[in-house]
Amino acid sequence: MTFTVSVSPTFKRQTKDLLARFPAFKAELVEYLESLERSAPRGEQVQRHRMVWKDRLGLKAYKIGKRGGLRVIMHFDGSDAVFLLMIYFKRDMAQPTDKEIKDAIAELMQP
Amino acid sequence: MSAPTANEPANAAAFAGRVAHMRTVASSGRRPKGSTAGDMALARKVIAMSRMGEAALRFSRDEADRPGADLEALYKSVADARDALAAFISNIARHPRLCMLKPLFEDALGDWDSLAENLALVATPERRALLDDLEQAVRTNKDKFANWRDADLFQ
Repeated sequence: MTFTVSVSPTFKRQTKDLLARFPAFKAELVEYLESLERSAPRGEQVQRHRMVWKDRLGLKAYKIGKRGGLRVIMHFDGSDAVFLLMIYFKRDMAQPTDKEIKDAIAELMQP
Repeated sequence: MSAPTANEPANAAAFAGRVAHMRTVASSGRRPKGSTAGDMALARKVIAMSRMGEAALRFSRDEADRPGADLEALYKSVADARDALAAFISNIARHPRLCMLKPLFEDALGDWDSLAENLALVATPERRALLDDLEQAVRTNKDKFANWRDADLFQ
């Protein structure tokens, strides 16, 4: 089974920011996105009844492990589609703030 | 299992691997070839500690999904456990012999850390409402997403 991996406006914006800081992450990100197409989702459900999943990524090129690395928040409802919502560096933000989540919602709701 | 002495060079990964192996055989009651009673006692203590930790983690995960659970209190407990484990690892890292067990507990730390992060996302009613809104926004705005290959992520 293959999965369609789509990105939100927030994920796209955050990815561009991260790649500006960690250009060597590009190859790892492509590998990760391709792995999601082959086998999704990755990581853990935030709660078992929710469709929101969180995955932890290291930055191998920068010798940063999973624990202090990147977090990917995605939506997966058991279908063949994965929606990537956010990506952030844990050292910048331990978890998304209320404002980050509200902004992500607002960006999806924009006409 | 023979634990390296203080005079031997520490090989954390090899020792942790042997202890992990002990986890699978010690409960069967047979003593692996070459191991001493002291080795077995150490292995039993490590096994007991890691099993207690695993049970606490499993219970905390189940509690996180129990309807009506006090997730704010659970988050604080899990974050405390994570911080205590991190402090323990930091302490044993300085010990000449116990430092070899560090990799074993680092795996558990990752699990506690991940659970604490998940709970932080749902700890308060306001956070849960925000996540509900986010899920709803995804369901009703799928046209706002772009396939990653067409999304100009790398330009």
